[in-house]
Amino acid sequence: MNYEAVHKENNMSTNQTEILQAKRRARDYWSIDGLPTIFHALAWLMLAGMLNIRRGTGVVVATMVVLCVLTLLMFLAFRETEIIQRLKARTTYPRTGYVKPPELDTPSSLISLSITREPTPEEAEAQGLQQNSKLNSITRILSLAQKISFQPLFVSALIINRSTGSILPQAAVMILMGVSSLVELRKNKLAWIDVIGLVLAGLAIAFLPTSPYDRINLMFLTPGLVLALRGTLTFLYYLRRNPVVQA
Amino acid sequence: MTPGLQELATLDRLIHEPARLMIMTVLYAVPEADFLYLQRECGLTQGNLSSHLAKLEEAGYVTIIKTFKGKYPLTICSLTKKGREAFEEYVRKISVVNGSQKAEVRS
Repeated sequence: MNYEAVHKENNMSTNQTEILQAKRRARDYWSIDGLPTIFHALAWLMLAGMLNIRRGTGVVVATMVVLCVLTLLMFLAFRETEIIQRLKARTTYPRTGYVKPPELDTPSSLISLSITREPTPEEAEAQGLQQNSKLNSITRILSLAQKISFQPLFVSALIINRSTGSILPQAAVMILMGVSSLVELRKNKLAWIDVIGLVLAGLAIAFLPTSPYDRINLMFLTPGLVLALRGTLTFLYYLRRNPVVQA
Repeated sequence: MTPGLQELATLDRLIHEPARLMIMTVLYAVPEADFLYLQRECGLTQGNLSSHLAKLEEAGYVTIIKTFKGKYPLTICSLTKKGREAFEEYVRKISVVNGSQKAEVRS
């Protein structure tokens, strides 16, 4: 067999790049229908709605509402996968099938198959993925800590705001939440519509003649609306492109 | 004949068939996938995929579980430990052949 024939054989055969691509496609498949985006939009809009109840309400009522909304958000955050999977079972799986997304922190044992040779670009990519998985586990721990710590932090900030009239603690907590949400968004790659939405939000926050409170509210409302729009468009496009497969 | 080329003779023929190789690659990359997902990923017809999966299941490389998600029936496929090991061995052999052939061409 000559080299060309073997090379052709190898092209046909599988390698690390193909496995990595299959993994990436399976991971991207989770957001193919826009349902996770709609879910995230709901969280942002709930936060924005929560901020709107402050006027004309007492400390007790406001604190109760904030606690209820944050508890609900925490519940949604911890049950996110389960809830989205229930929705997907009705919409996505009958159309384009089901796949369990691969974990990032279980690198393929194929990475260690040829350590004596100079790493090929595919192997370098695989090693990069392995390093990313370490970063990913750190991000997950931070994300969990953040989910647990936000509730008391936010309530404390609200109490300080009611007693002193300063919005600085609340602004600090919200900026922290915004940054962590952006990190989450970045992991799923930002779409152009997100970038435009964030720029519009920035402009609105900077130039609209509103109170600082309303500006903070905009910080939640705008990304929520942008994500809701993107998620809905993706969902509708997905439904149109993929009719239910008849058995 | 180079030692690398000799590895070609010992390749697992069950995996070496292109359609089954695609199925094995997809299943190696994910914990589990259903029939429809595999069909879309591999671009195979229902009958074709079904017969290849049956062969892989017979060899003990793939587990097939028929279940329901709500009202929707799911045929979930996943690689067994044996299947994973066989696939890794196959890729290792191909890599050896690839490496030795490249070295031969360079020299």
